[in-house]
Amino acid sequence: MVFASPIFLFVFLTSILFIYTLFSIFGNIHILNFILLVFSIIFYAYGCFSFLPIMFFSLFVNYILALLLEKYRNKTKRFVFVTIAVVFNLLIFFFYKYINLFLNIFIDINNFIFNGDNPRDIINITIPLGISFYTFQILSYVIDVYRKKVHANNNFFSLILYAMFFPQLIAGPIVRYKDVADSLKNRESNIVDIYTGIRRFAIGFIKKILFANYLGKISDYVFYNEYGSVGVLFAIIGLLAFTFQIFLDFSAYSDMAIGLARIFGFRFKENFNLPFLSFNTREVWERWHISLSSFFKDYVYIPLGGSRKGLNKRIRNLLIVFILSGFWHGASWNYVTWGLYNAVFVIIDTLIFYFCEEKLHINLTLISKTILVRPIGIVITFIIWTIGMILFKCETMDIFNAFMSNFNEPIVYSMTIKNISNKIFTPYFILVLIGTFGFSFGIFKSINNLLNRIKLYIILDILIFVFFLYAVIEMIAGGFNPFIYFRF
Amino acid sequence: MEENYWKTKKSRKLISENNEYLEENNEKHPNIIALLLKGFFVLVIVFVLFLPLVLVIAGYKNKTLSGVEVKVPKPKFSIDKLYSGELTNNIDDYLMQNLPGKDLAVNLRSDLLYNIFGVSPHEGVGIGKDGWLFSEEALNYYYNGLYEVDDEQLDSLMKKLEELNNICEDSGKKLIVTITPTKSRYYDEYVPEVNKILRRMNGDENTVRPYDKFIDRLNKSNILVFDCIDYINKHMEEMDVENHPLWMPGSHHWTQYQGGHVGQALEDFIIEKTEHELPKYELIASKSEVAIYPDNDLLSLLNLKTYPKYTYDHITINFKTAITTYPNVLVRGGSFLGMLLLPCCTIGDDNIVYHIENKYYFTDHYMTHHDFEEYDEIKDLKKNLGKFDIIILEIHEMNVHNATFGFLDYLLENKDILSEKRVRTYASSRDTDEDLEDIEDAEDESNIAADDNIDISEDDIKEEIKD
Repeated sequence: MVFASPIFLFVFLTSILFIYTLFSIFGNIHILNFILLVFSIIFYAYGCFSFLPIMFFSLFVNYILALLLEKYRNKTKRFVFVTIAVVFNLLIFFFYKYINLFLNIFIDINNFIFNGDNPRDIINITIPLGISFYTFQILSYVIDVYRKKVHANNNFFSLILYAMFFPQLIAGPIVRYKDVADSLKNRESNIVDIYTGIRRFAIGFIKKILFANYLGKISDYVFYNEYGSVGVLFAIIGLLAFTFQIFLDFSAYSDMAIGLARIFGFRFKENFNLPFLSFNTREVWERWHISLSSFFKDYVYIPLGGSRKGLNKRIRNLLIVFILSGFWHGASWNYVTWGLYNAVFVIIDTLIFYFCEEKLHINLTLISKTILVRPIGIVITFIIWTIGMILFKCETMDIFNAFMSNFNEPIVYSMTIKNISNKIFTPYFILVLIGTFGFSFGIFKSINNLLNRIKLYIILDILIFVFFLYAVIEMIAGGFNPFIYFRF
Repeated sequence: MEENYWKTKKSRKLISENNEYLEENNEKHPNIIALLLKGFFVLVIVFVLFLPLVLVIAGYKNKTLSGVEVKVPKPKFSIDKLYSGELTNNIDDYLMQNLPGKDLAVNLRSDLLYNIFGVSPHEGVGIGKDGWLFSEEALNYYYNGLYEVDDEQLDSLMKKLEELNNICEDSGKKLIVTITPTKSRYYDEYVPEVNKILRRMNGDENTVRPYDKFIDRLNKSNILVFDCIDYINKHMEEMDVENHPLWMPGSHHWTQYQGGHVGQALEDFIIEKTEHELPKYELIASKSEVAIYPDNDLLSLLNLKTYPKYTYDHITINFKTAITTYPNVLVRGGSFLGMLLLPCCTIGDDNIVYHIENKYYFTDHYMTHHDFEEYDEIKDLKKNLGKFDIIILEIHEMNVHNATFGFLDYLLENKDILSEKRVRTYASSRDTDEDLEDIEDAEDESNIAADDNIDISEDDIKEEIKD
């Protein structure tokens, strides 16, 4: 079940809002948690019923291990328990997400060595929805218990709710247990929470339906083009469309998740903070998918030594983190390459800052914030990030080669160019551009803050309502393209 | 000094903290009006979410929207489907198609996009100059090389047509192939500019289209061909296209009036080239602002609340024939076939007529409509294949690559039945008294043959008539 679908909006969300509000009268947190839990299970089962037993089993194992970690003081025993937890969770994760990939690698190597012709994709395991988010989330919980940052939750159902809470279950953000531990036991949800939550949800919905989806069509025309080169200009347009699409799409889901959680009294941390305003790639990763980068920082980078064990180890740790991050994004080599690509630029930034600040004693951090230097850094970083998106989008070499051919083959004025032209040479595209830049570069955020300060947020609320209504209409009617008649 | 104050890091931090304080302060001590406004905002958003339910409770039934789409069946529960995820996909699709209020959403969206942004709300419909509509598929065929056919495909098509033509000639049947035109050919000035620009940029302005290659091959063969495009080009003035347009601004198909005019010309052609008598009629057009199908088919696909006003040609048909017995006719084509208004498909007492168009067909002289998926489902078609006197295949110039939608293959697969000899056993207005006597004799002979199971060959009957 996805947020931007009729089944979620008109059936699931209305049901949970109604029932939750009804039982809020009683004020019993256990009943409210139970309602959220039931709905979260329904939410997940709707999209991935067959994986439910494994999920419950996994949660139960983690629940027991966390309790054991809480109970025992012996360092060795605790280390064993946390190791079991890590191995257990990663095994499930690797099995479902990477078994196809590694089997294919094994087959390719076998074919190469023995000149064989064995077919690839001999098994095709369906990847359970949200496994990447859910696994990291529950792992963070157990590790935090091990580190004594949080106490183990002795209420199994409460733990399930933490792990399976529907707003963040399939697309994040990765929520740390410590951020919601108190809310699980005791929380309030007043009109301001509901208003803030609904408003945030509506904004995310608008971003997804009206802007991300529109840009997605343009980028798909370019990347999945079958009619020959579209030329440099349209290739760049397609790439930019994808760059903004991926941000709007992902941040929209985070907005909707954060908004939904807020309605029910949970406060999730921000997952995006205007990454296109970053001075360098290092900063991008402090602003992009913050919950993931902070997970890798806390559970991989720092345990490996972080930046405390010398420059060489720091670079090594960065490489490991970004390779893993690439893998996390998808079981495909293009994602790993994308991770490496980011690693290169993060390492370059690290080295530049290291040498400037440590060796030459130039306060580059301060300089990078000046009005002259910062815009240059932002533009360069944006270009680097956008180029990296080629790797992210091109899941196969064929798609990659086809895309790159746009830069060196003569343009074919085909239906692809016509389709792209129809999308961009229209007054409607101006609206899309305004929305895209407004959300991507913080213009709307600034306007929001300004209007809040002068207590004129009602203007924005009206606009949000109007666009939300249109986005709902677009969701319902946008896919309706009937034929005049049926044909063979 | 105050100006510089807010630029320092410390002051910026203070302001940011102040904003957070303001937000927090609002939350802890919100004023009543602010609360009410927030509450109202929540209510209107929630109302939107509950709107389909409200419509259901109010008994609202979705109005039928224009256009056809594959109907999603009601989801049926089964453990297997639940486990595999098929059930939930079916529920999603069903709900998307049948959501209460969907018609309102479609109408509203269409009106917003069409009237405010001038953008087509339908992916398959392009808007050109002065609001003229074109099927994107047809535009891509005419300007952007869609549905190209190579020599191999053409060879294969011609081979099949020639084989069919030979079978027909050997069995006393007449095969006629007719090609129907596309809108862009005659209304290029209204076409969305992007199509023409692309064609110019590609240097394709003089490139031959599939129609050009196909008609060239047809004209070199023995097949009887009636090229509607050629006819229109030669008779534009006579057809008075200024007052009676070939196409309406909001249509994909040609108008019934002009299609009927061309249909009459096709029948004249058949009469001239064959021995068969066909009904004649007079088409009378009267102007009306009421849209008639298919003259607003593209426009209606947009599902607007308010449509632009055009003047349509409403037609009246006056039949001018007295004879009631006509040949058995099999007509197969696409949707442009219907506008030809072939009288041979409507008139006659005892003749067998099949008018097959897209995925439906008419029998009983257009009185009965049937849908079909496979040709074998067409009632008694196979049985009657040998009994047709005239077979007309209508091929739209855009569909050369998929000519007759597999019907040609079906006919050739059943050539044994198709090869059944046909002799005209009905009278024609061109027959002399002697001819009529011969026809009567031939009919009697064929009846005797049927009754007594005597073998009478076609040559015998022809000899009889000749004598």
